[in-house]
Amino acid sequence: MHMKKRRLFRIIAAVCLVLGILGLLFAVRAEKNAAPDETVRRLELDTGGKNRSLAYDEEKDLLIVGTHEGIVTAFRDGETVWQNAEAAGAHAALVLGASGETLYSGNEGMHIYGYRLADGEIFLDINVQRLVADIAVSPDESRIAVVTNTGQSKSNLLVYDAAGELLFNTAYKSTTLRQVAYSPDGASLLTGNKKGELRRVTEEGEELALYKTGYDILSLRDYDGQILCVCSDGSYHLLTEDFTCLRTVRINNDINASITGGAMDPATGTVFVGSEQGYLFANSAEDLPVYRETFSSRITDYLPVGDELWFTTITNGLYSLSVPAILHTEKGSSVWTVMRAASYALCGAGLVFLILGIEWLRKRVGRLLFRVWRNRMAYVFLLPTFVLLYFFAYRGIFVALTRAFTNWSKTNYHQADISFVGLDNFKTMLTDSYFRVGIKNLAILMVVNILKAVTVPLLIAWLIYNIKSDKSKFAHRFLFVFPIVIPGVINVMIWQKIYDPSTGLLNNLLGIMGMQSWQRVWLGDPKTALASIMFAGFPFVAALPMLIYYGALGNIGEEIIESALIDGAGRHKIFWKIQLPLIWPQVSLVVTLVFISTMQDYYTIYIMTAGGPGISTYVPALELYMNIAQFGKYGYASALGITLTLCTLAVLGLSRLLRKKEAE
Amino acid sequence: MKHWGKKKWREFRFQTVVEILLVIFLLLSFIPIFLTLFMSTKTNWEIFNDFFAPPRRIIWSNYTKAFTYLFRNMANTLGMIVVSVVAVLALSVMGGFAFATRRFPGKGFLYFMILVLLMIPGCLYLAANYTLIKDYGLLNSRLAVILPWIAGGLVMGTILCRNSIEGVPSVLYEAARLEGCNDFHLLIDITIPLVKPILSTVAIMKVVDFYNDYIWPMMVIQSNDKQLVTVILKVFTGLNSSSGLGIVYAGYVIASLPLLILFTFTSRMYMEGLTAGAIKG
Repeated sequence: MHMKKRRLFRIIAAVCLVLGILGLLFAVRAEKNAAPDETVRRLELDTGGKNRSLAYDEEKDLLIVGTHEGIVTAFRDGETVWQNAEAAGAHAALVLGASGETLYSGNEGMHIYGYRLADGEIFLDINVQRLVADIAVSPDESRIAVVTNTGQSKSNLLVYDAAGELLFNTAYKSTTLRQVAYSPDGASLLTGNKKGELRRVTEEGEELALYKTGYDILSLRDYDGQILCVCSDGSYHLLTEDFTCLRTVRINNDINASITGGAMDPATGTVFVGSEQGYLFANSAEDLPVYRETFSSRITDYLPVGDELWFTTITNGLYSLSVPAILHTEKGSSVWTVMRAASYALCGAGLVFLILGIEWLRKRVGRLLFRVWRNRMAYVFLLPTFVLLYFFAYRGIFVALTRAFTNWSKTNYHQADISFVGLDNFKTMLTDSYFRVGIKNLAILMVVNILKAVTVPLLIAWLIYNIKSDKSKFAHRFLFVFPIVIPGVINVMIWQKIYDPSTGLLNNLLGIMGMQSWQRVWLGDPKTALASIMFAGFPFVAALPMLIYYGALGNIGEEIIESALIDGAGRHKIFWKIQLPLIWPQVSLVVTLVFISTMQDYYTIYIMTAGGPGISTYVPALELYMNIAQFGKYGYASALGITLTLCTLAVLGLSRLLRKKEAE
Repeated sequence: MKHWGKKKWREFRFQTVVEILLVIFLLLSFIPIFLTLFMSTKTNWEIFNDFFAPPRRIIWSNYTKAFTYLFRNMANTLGMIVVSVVAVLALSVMGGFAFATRRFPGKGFLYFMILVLLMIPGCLYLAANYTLIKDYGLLNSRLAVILPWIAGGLVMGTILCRNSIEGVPSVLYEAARLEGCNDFHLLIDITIPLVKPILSTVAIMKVVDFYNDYIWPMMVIQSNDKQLVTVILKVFTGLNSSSGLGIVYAGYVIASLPLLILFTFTSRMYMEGLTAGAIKG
């Protein structure tokens, strides 16, 4: 009976495992084929200039990019179809004509150009004699409206016919027009200005309606009856045709990015806002922030295409952002997810049956499970600890160890852009001038810091130890430890002030002592900067080593000292022959601690000189930080981190080995 | 008699030399503190023109100005520290209790995983942690500082708590278990009262550590109103360097007050906390 049952279990286990593994393989493969795109993809389209404006013709599948240098390029499937560099100024706006054959450009070289979509030939060239801010083309393509600026605050709204004849000219004083758009029926125009006023006007310039946003209108678009204004304070306003506000909210811009414009994905109602620094913000239709990412340079134009947003930065090229991906609406079907889960369940069941089917395994697992169950509280107690450590320690360590061998950086941030570069990051270190200066400085700092920590604190500890009265002993210990109530960071700032060339204590002291010739710009001179950093904290009575030495001295038995005194040994002799050898473990502990902190701490240097002047006070740890915060070279920073860690561990291991040998 | 006198005289001479040396070192060590207090009472004009002269009138407004500027960040810092330290203590004592009183499968491995973290310096994974914080969507939130603080603090905390709890006689637990006490009650009713000293040591150690943190908060928090006071002080120094040096120095004094208060009330434990991490680690 038992035998039979066990055999049955084993058969079930085999079936489950085979099915489960097959299912898993199948699901993974199918999912790979149906995998949704990455959130952001870089479009490998090179215009050879600084991209300013975009347009896309769906029928011809043409993406047209206008640059700062006046070049217009049309791309299809990543290939250049045509390019026209005849225009002089920057293409501030590109607008497609409704016929599907034409493209109009508002050019900052004071022109409006019409391009033929088929071959890029210019068929229309209107000299507007003013700086063009934006253009709009009426739905029947019979009119072109343009807003222009002259001088400080004079603006014009000009309307031309298709042949380039000026029909209407409305002048505005003391306002700067920014944006213009035609209403979908072509009956009226929308303009936005620097004061934040959105106006509906007729082509003749007669005002029909007014809406005040309060801030400079940077983008203005009409999405089939819904008008979107994006303002300089980071707010956006979505209005109906009669200026009833549907949505208005400020994007969550707590990093103070300077807003440059925005757009909406009409299908989902997602609003995008871009900034000078290359930040792209997105708010969902419910006005909740759903996305924020930096692309390192000014975002100049936006184009919703299908379920993607195409946008361009001024120097870093074009990107495509998947709107469903940021809204977390899964594209792929959930069938594969279900299938995968089922496969996992099958595999799990298979394992359970396998364990049940094999006698010794069953017993072992049973005992183990019993012990786990009996000690369940221990796991519950440790769970939060390890969850936190996973997210904020282990995971980081793993990422650092793997990505140190890649070109991981701010621009190669996403998995798709990261590629393996072997030991390149480590080789870079050898030729990097920052690193070479850093190593030299680190060596100097190391020697000086260790000397500082084993001399003065030991002397003070010994002096206090030798005081007769207990009260006085306690008072001195208290007073010498007291300065640590000044947080380390503030102490460094105070020392920085002490070195100030005009209002610093040091130069003023030299001044009243008549030593003007000794006065220096201590931290600003490469010759004195590092020495000044090392001198900070004078007279170097560090509390921690002092307490360690003092405790060690106190632990030496009174009898030893007394018998030595009776033998006629002087205090000198006692110190060198008895006390110092006995507290040697504590001295080496202090050296170890100083070694570790000198390797890793750089806040002193960061606050005092930030590595300057030039690179004269860099240390490797500071270079590591700078590579993260300033240069965004995460892979290189991780390689530096690995190097520092290995050096630290090697020295610590070596010293431990030596001590063991000594003890033997 | 003569011999005695000579010995006493020698001892007296030695004690005087010791005392003089100590006082000299003490005065030198206190220069930054005296300087800060002194400058914080002067006007900008007085600092620029007559550095060493005492102020004609003590400028208390330096303090009120500095306080108004720093108050929000001080309160913010203290709030974040309290939350983090409480969490560190709770998790450390729970973890230490589990490791000290239970023999569970995987114990050796899990403890090893904690000990390993002592050996690994933070700079190894600074870049990785920064980008992970970004990916978790925590950038520019208080949690971006608090959670890594807790994770970093509980490593040492758990180790210290385990060592301390192992010193509690196991007879106590066995008796309580026989009475039907579960682990949770054991921890709260027996362990915690017995290991209070190590908990206060850990608490003080962590308060000092967190208050001194600078680089990490500067990296992950951009908004001034969420920032720690130490980081803000640098901004504050920059703002007032040319127009109100006295205010800057007053700011230093104010920002040092929390640790000063902690030190005056707990000086013995404070010194223990200072050395505990170094020695036992």
